[in-house]
Amino acid sequence: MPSQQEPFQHEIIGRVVDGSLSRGLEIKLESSISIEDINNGTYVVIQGKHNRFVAMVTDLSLGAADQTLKFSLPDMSDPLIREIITGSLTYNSLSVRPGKILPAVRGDQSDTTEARTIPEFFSPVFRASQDDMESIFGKENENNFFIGHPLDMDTKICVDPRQLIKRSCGVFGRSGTGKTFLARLLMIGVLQHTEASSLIFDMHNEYGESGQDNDRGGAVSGLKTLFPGQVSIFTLDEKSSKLRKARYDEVVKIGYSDIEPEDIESLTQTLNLSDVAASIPFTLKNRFGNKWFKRLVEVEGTAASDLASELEVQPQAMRALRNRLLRLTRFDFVDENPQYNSLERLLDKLKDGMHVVLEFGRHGNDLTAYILVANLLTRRLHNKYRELTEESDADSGAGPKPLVICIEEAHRFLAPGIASQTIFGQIAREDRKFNITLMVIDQRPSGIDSEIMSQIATRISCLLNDERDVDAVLSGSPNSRELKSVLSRLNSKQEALFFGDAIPMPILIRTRTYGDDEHYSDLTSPAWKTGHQSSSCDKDANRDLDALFGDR
Amino acid sequence: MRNLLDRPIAEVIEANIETFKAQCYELYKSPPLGSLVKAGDIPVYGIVIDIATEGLDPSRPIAARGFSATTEQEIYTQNPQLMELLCTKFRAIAVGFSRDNLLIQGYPFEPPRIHAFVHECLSDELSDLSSNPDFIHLLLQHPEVKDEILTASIISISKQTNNREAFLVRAGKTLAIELTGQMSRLNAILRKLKQ
Repeated sequence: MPSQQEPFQHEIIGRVVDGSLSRGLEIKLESSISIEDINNGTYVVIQGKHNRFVAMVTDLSLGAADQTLKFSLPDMSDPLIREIITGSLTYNSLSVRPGKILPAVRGDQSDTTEARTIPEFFSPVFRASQDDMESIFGKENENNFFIGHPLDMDTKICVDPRQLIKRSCGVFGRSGTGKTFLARLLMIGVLQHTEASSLIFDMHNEYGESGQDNDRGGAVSGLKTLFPGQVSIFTLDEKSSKLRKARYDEVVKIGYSDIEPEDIESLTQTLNLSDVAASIPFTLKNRFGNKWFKRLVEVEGTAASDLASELEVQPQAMRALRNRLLRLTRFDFVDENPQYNSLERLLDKLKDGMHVVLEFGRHGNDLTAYILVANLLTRRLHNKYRELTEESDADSGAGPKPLVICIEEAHRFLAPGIASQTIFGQIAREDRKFNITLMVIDQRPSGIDSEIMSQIATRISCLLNDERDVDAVLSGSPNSRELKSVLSRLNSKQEALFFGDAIPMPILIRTRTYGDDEHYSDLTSPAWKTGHQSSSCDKDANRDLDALFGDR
Repeated sequence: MRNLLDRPIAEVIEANIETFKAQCYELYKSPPLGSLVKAGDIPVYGIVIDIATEGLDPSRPIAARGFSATTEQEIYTQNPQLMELLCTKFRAIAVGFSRDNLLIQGYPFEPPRIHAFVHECLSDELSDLSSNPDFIHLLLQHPEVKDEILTASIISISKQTNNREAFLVRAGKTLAIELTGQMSRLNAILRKLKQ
C-alpha cells in the first residue's frame, strides 16, 4: 500500500514521541536536523500507518534527557564531545497540531479530511512538500485566489473568495503591518473569483486610484487602475480628488433628509452627546419626518426653546444636540438639497455588480464624517438588500448578488457598547441572510464586541503587539493557545496568520507581493486565465527533462 | 602480520560465562588493557580488563634479586630461571561470540574451554564490534570494570578501527545514554576519550 511507505524522497526530520489529539503532538527532531532550520508556523507531514497527517508547527523546544546536564556542563567547545552530547542527552522537539489528513496516494486530487485521529508512536515526520500544500490549499484556478506563500517555500497558498465572503471576515494587525495591502488583495480576489459586488469605505484613499507604499516609497496601483471596468470611485471630497489628480466617477452629496436619527445615535461617542440628547432626533423625526434635521439646525434663539417645550424635551439637551449637529452641516458633502441622488446611484452600481470605492478625501481624518457616512450608507444598503431578498423570496429566487462591505477602524462601529445599536453590528450578526457580509479591517480587535467577533468566520492577522488584541483575534478558535505563539512572533511586514472558515487549516503566509508591473499583470491576468499555468509538478518535470536531455 | 595474528598468544586457564583468564606464552607479552581477544575454535570474544604477572608456584614467594644488579635487564640475565618461574596472565570479560562467522555481542552460551588458544583479533572483527558499541553496556554492568578500564578499552578499539572519530562518537553517545543522571562521571570519561 502506498500509504504505508515512507516517502523516501524526503528526509525524515523527526518522529512522533508524545501527544494527544487535544494537546497536539510532540515530535523529537533527528539530531542531524538543526532546530534553527525549522520555523514556528511551518507545516510538516506525518506518515502514520494508514494516514498522512498535515500539521502546523506551533512551538519548538530544547530538551535534556539528563536534568543534571545544565548543572554539570560538558566541554562543549570540543567538537567530539559536542557531537556526542547532541542528540543523546539533548534533543530538540517540535509541538505540532495535526489538522488534516491528506489523500492516501500522493497527487490524488480527492479532498483532504479533518484529522480525527493521530499518527502512531514513532511515525516519521517530513517537511511538507509543494504537492502536500497544494492538496490542502488548492491550486490557483478560477475558484482559488493566490494570496501568498508559506514561510519556507514558494508554493502558492490559495483561498476561495466565495468561501471568504460567505460570512464576515476580518483583517487585523498593528498599524503599518500591511492590513491595507492584504485587504486590497482580498478585494481583488473577491472581484475576480466571485459574483459579489463590494463597497469599500476608503478612509485614507488607498483603494481606488492608487495607494501609498510607505516602506518602499511611492505609489501602488489601486483597484480602479487595475480593473477599470469593474470598479467605480465615488468621492466625498471632490477637491481632494482633484488635488490628488485621482479619477472619480461620482461625487457623493448627502442631503439633510438622508440623515436618520440612528445615524446620530451611532455618533453619540464621537460627538460626545448625552443619551438624552441622542434620543431627541427620534422625537424630532416623529414630529417632522424627513425634515427633522433641517428643522433642528435651522431653529434659532427662542424658537429653539419653543420647539423643545413643544416636543417635551430638555431645552439644554436640544441646544447641545443642535450645536453638535451644526458640525455636520459644515461638511462639504452634506448639502441641504443635493442636485441628484448620489446615494441611489451608488446603490445602483452595487446592484449591477460593480465594486465601489468610496473615497473620503480629507474627511478620512475626521471620525465623525467617517462614522456618519459609513452608517448612513450601510443602513440604506441593508434596507435595500432586505427588500431585494424579500422580493426574491417571494419569487423563490436566489436573492440579490452578494455584497461585501469593507470598513476600516471597525472597532468604532463594533465596540461592545454600540455594536448592538449600529447597523454594522446587525450585519455582522445576521445579514448573511440578506447576502451582505463585512470585511472588517482593524488594529484594535480587542475593541470589537466579542459577540460580533465570534461572527467573523475568517480572520487574517498581521502582527499585533497588545496581548488583549491577540486574545481577541484568536477568541473562539479551537487552537488559540498554539496559534498565539505563532501570531505573537510574526514579522512586522508581509506576514499574516490566516485561519477560519475560508481556509482548510490555519497557515502563516508571506503575503503575495504587490506593487510593480509584473505583480500587477499577475493579478490582472492570472495564469489560470491565460493558460500559462506551471505547477510545481510541471516545473519538476521540466527540470527532470532538462537533466536528461540538457538544453532542449 | 597475518602469521603473527594467527599464532596464539595465550591459553585459557580459567573460564566462566562472564570472564576468562589466560596465561600468556611469553612473559610480559600480554595484549594491552582494553584490547579485544578471542578464545577457542568457535571464538568467544573478550576485552582485556586486567593483566598480572606472578610466580608459577604460589608456594614459592618471589624475592628481590637486584641487590648487585645495576639495571632491571641485568637481573633477568643473571637469573635466567626467572623466565620459567614467572608467568603473565590476563583476564578478559566476555563481550561476544561467533555464530556463522559473525560477531554477536553479548555473553556466550558457554564459556571457552580450558586450554583454548587465545588470539588477538583481526581488523574485520574489530570493525564488527566498533560498528555497534553494545559491548559498553556489558562492560558498565560488570562490577570489576572501572571507568579507567572502560576508557582504555574504548581508546584501544578506536585506535584499531578505520574511522576513529565516528567510533568515538558512537561509543560516546552510548555512554551518554547509559550514564544518564551521572553527568560528572560521564564528563570524566569524555575528557579522557578526547585526549
